[in-house]
Amino acid sequence: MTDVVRDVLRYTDFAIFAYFIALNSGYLALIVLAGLEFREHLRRMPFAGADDMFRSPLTLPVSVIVPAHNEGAGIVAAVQAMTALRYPRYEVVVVDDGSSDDTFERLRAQFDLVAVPRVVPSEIPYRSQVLSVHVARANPETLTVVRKTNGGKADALNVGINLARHPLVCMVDADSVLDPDALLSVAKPFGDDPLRVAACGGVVRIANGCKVVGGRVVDVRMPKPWLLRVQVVEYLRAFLMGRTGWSRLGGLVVISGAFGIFRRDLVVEVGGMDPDTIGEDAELVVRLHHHLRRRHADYRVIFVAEPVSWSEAPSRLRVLGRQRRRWHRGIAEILSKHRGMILNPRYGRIGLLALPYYVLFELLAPFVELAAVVLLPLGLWAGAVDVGFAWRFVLVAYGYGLLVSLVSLFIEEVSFHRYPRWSDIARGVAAALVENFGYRQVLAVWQAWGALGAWRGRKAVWGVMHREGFGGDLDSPEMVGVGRG
Amino acid sequence: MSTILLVEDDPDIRHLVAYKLHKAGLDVVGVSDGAAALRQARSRPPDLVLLDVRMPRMSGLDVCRELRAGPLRADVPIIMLTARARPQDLEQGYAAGATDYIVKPFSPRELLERVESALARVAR
Amino acid sequence: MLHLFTVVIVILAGIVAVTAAGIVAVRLVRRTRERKRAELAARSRPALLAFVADNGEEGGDELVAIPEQAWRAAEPHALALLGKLRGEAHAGLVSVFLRRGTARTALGRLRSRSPVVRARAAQVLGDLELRQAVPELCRLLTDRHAEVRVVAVRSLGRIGDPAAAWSIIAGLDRSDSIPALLASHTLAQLGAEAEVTLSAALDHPQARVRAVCLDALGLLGATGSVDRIARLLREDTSVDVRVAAATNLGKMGTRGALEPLSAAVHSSRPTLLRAAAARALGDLGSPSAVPTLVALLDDETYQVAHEAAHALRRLGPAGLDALRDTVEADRSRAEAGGAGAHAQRSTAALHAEEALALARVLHEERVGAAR
Repeated sequence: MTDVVRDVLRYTDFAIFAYFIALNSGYLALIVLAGLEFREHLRRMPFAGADDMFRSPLTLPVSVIVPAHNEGAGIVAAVQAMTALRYPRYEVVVVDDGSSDDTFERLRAQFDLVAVPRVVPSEIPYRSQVLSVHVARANPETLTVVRKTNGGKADALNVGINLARHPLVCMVDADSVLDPDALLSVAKPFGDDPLRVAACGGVVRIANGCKVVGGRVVDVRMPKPWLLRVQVVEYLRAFLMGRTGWSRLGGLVVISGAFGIFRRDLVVEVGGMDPDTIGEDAELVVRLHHHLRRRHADYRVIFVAEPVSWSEAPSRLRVLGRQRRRWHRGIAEILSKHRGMILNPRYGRIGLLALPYYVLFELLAPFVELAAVVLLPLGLWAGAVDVGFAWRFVLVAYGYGLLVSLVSLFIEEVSFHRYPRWSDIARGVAAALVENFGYRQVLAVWQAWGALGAWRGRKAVWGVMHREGFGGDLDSPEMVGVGRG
Repeated sequence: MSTILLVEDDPDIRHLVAYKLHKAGLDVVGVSDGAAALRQARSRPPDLVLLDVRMPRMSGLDVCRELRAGPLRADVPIIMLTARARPQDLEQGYAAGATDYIVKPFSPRELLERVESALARVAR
Repeated sequence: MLHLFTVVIVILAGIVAVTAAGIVAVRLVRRTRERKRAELAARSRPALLAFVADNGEEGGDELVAIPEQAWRAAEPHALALLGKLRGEAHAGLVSVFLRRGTARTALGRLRSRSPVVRARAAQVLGDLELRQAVPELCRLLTDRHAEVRVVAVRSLGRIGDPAAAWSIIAGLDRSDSIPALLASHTLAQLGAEAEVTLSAALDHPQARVRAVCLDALGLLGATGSVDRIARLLREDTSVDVRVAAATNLGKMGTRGALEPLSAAVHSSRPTLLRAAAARALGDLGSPSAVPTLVALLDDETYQVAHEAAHALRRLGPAGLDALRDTVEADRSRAEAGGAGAHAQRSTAALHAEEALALARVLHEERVGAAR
């Protein structure tokens, strides 16, 4: 073992350490920003005017688009809940993307659907074939169900957007459970700042363990399995806090496909969802930024932290792995597709701040994490670093991560406090600790795998895309925002 | 004594209306959602239903349809409480089987008058 | 170096412990405060409900006599009740607030340095529908903070004093304008007396102002302004304004609107305007619009043809007949061509079929209800 190798190892270990500190400081900054945002939001609740918006005859109508592929089990409850939201005027458009189960039959039986020969416009190109369009007999103008040949989620959304009749389109997963005021809150920014707001994302929380009655979450609880508890903490940190922080900075580049609302004209203008990208929801937002910045438009992309949409998170390791591989593959693909924006001052905060952050602290994070797992023991073995440094390194890096998670829990407790039980707090804190032993490392393997998949498969991917469809019980692919703690 | 079934998810309005009607000598059963309303109407058929249009889970229109389809006699008045009274909203309500409308915000006195006159019409 | 690390670890551990304890402390404090508040509010709640249910005739003195702390707990609830009530009950509750000095305090707070306090005060004055507050609220329309301006506009709408119309219009004519839809709704809430002002503002140089006033006139059903609106539909330089003019002419449903709307669907006009005018012709409800709309059914832009078909459906029997004729004509054309039932259908027929199908569904619903 030469001294050179030893030196290289030592400096690499130091660099990794510095990276961890920078990464967690970034998270902490976003979370503190989120805390400030929540504080302002809550102080404004008494005069936010949600009731006035509900009563106004001019409130912008919304088309809620629900792509569904083999969702027979839950589709009726989901659509029932979605047609009973508190919003003055909206329609629900369910797009049955070539289901092979009884998704459509169940809808037909429940809502007494009748076929109508709709002329389907093609403002946005789509690849599949629309088989038939149906409306509910009792409410023909509020519920539409489209049957089409299978073409993947993005394609289903494109058909839905074509058929949407209202100026705002809200994309919702068929397994999402929405709070009654969810649509009102997420559409509100469009009324308050009509000239600027282009898109608005709603927060997604984990439904596992919660009591759901009639398509509504009525009792919020921590799920039992640790794999899910860890994800609850992760979602709070990444989705709730991370995205709120980015929204405040004016650099939000991810809106979850599980619950996001857009100006229809802008979506049409940029050509709709890209069926060749895995993370089509995030890709749309980045493309909107790309387009609007180039046009020098004064616009905003906003994140709303409450109320919320609840999604089922994967409870099995294998499914979770597949989900995270897809998410990270999505990040890699999007960043690669829009690489011209990165560090380009023309794209303002998106180009100079948000996207470089995603490259450095999202895309590369799993590789650094894995490098640490390998190189630190190696450095120890080679005598490049001593034991005293090694354990302190681990304690500081992971301790800082733990602190970031705890601060998230603290801000959640101060602002929304959705988990009413004392035991849930204890479990949340424990999950923030447990996460460091195994979960993070396994996650990093999946993520690295996903990113490598994107790079390896790029040439093939760009031409004929191997489509993974809806991926069974996975929810939509998306970026975690603030990945690990 | 006439029995009124009051279906309203807003506890303020529920308490207020229940108090007002009770004081006028009517028997009021208040429930907060559609499912409970249907159960109640089956176990103890009311003489009049006051029904909020916008409720979580099951909308007032759906409750109205189900009441008309099953447990309620055809001549039992259903008065809808609604925040929006555009012609098409009202039409939807009548199509679902409502007999009258009270627009929110409402006056408690007017509400009582409407309830009493609806009951009187049935009695005749 | 190692020593520094140790110090950092100790500090980290300390912060972690403090944060964890903080979570518990925050919850304890909040729960205690909430319980206290709820207890206080519960005490005055029955009195409040009884007072309101009795049309505010008796019990007012008791409410005024409630100690300040207990009232503060009950106040959000009482303010929420205000929004749900009309008539004597509403007036009675407002008088309780006035006697307690709520309005005076709120008027003072309109000049607070905190935007949140200003906005809250404006909201309260709107809840109370206090006319005296109108000049102060109008002043707030030029507030530095957008959120304060928004609350002020909403409150002016609640109060409904037509004197506020000009201030609201002026609030639209600035780079950081008040939201258009909110402004339209508010201006309409000011009532028919505001019509003169709105009509005059149709000559305003700022397009946004004209569009907002058009929407407000449409909500008011201001048929007296039809000629002026028709002029904007014909001549305005902004497409948005012309679209708004078309839409609102449709809402008014007067015969005078027929001619300008029919002219606005001409193929030389922008698509958005043509679609809006076609839709408005359906809203207007005049069978004389049928030939104009039929001619649009095979328009090459989807929106125009779609709106025309559904406008015909909404026109009732005359429109439905025209739709049926279109489908029939297409069928006989296909048969004459000998191509059989599967020949290429015309766009017009496809749109007509769609509208007819929806008409059938809607009609069935009505038949079902009549049964």
